[in-house]
Amino acid sequence: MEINDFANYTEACFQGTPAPCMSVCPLKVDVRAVIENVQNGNFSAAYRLYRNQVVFPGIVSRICHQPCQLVCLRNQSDLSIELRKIEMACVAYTNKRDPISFNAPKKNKRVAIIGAGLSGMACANKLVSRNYEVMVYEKEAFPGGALKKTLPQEVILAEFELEFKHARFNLIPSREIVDLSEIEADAIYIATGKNGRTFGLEPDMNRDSLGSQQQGVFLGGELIGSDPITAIEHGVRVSHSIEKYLKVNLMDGVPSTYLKDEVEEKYLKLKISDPLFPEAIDGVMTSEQAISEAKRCLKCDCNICVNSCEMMQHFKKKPLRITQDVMATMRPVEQFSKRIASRLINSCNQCGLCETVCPESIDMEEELLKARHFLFKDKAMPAAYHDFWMRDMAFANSDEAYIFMTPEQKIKSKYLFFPGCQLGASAPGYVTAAFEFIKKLDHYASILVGCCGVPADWAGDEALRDQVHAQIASQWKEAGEPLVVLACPTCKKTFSQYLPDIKTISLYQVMALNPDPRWKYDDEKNVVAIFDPCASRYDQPMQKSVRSLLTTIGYQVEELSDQGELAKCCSYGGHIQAVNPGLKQKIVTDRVNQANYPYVTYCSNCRDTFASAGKESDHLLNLIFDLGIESTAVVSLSQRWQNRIALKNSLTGSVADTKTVELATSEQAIPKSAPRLVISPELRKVMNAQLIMDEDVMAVISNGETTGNLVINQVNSDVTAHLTRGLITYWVTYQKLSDGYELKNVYAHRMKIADEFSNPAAK
Amino acid sequence: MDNNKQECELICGKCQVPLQMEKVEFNYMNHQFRHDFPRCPVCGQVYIMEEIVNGKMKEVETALEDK
Repeated sequence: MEINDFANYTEACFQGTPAPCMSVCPLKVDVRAVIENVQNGNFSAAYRLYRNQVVFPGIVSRICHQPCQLVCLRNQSDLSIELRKIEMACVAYTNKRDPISFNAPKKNKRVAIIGAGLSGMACANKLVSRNYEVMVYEKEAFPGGALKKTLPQEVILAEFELEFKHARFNLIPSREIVDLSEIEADAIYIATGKNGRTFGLEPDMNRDSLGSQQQGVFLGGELIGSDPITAIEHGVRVSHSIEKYLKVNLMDGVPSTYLKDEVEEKYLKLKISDPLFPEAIDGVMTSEQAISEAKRCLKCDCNICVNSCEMMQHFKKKPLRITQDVMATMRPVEQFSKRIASRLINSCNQCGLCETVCPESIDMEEELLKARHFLFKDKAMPAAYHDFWMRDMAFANSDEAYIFMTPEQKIKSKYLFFPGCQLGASAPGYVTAAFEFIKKLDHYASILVGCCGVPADWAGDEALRDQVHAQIASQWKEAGEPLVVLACPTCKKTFSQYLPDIKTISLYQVMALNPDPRWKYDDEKNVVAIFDPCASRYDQPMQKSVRSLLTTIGYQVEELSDQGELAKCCSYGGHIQAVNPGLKQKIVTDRVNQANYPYVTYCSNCRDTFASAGKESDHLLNLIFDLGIESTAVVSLSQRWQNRIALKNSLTGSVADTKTVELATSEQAIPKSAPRLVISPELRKVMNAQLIMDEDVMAVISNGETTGNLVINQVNSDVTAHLTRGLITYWVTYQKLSDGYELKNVYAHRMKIADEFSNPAAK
Repeated sequence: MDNNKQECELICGKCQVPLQMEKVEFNYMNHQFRHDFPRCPVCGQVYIMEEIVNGKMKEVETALEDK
């Protein structure tokens, strides 16, 4: 995959393109911006934006035929926005309507305009503001042209007077031009209105620049068949065409002034909120009425993915911008541009919700995963981002924790149970109880306890990921290619993506099909909320099975708003903790505040993440198998490793006694002779958040105690030691106890101390 | 820097001498830099307090990772 290919991911994104109303507006009013201001009661600001586009707001807000209403998406559920009335209110509630006075240098060119209707006057206004000398010839006694039929003369004159307040021009009334030779000018705009004089120049005119075949002469407005609003746009457009002609002697105009936006049909896919009918109002709205009508406007734009994704909100970036940044990150220019999106790329939870909600199915999950692969290959992935998880994965797949057991007799297994690496780390009992259940269905079931390789994928290391998958595939073959039963939704997603030859089923589906009367029934019929793990979105049978299992064992199930295919990540996905701890915290907080009911989930990472945040949450298996794990029990990082060892001991031992295994804790697993570590709950939290394990702490202390490389605080006799392990330098402040150490503080950094224990005094 | 206040209270456990403010060299993400920290004038052992690690140092790490 080449860097430029990344642009394809968001090619179809239409976020930020003009809304349908803006596309059809002849004067290109920035409806979103105008409405935004009115919604906030800021009529003057809205008026300025409106005035800049329409030139004569006091007139246009009275006569506009509102093509916007024909394409307004509101029309699908109730009625189009009354935009013209909102615009009238902007005019009415702007105290100081004076136009801005420009101080452009005087141009030594004279432009003649024939016809003082809307088109001619708009052209005159634009040219005068750029300080051209302008003569307007009008055959009637007053300006206004066809407007006179629809608006009172005093309204027309007052508006012209206001808008030309700082822009003086020569109006020559009661003067009908019969032949262009009567005029002495560098350029001419003929805007003589419907059925007006064309001087024979309309045939073969350029409909884009509005230039005629005669050098320096342009035609536009109702003369060439436009409506009054488009006539204004013609006047503005011709002002640009004339300026170009006067500067470079070309008649082809300025493309940006005549290129039209087509209505982007993708907008039609956007869902319109509930019907909300407007108030019927005659005349000018009150400011309150205008604000409430403006609030009906949806300011149509596609922000669905951003609204669903805390990461995009955190970085305040939308897919198109993210792609730009991702591509810039891949080819930084030395000393000039940075790897600007490296943190963003690694802050994605890899949950895939963006693709699910996007009307164009834009897949930012895949884009950002591929970007991680690219950064890794380019040796530009900050190693500390994924270091902890890579060590965790290495441990899960090491001899101490990895388990592969097939029946001793050469009998083919029907099932191979693959619980993943985190379920047994959370509590060995989950795995042993589930395997016991599977063994009742298939006495010769095999088991493989290890990592599915997703941490390597998330860290960008494709080679390591493939290596893990190759091992899984080979052991699956060794077991006789059985149906693989998966307990972890992320393993399931990973298998279907990278190991498509292996047939899989979720543990929960197997259980729902084979209910066991010995399962723990909840007599109190407690209410629980189901938290669907994000990776379950791709497996509806799994989601259904979990609901059916919970009902079977007596619980009343409450649904969260983000459930089913809209499931959101608990914050664990993509391993963002070391990359963006603040974002991770925000996500966890959002999730646990979704409902007051205790959560039941079927991903141990979701369960453990929520429990760490103090939220009562259970893994479904804890309820079914009555494992007795407290809903808020937090498992420390070190305990997770010890649990894996305990699980292996238990499964490879002759008797799989779940009760004893489940009680295995770090205290039991660490040899009795090991010194005692006293860690306060607050410090434990800090350690979990910073991914510091007891083993790291012990290594620092024992290194300090054996080498004597310690710093002693003479005031309180606290001892501080530090040690670099891999990429991280750990610092521990402690007090020595008779049988161990009491921790006072633990912290860590990624920077390396380069010259320690070189003797500076000796230099 | 707060390290200043602390240095006189801190002694090197091995050399039993008070720490002094000295230049310490660091590297991270292919960048080198130096800063004054309390260190043992005899063996060169360094002491960095938590406020610096979780404050300024984290800022620099973040900036370099984003570079």
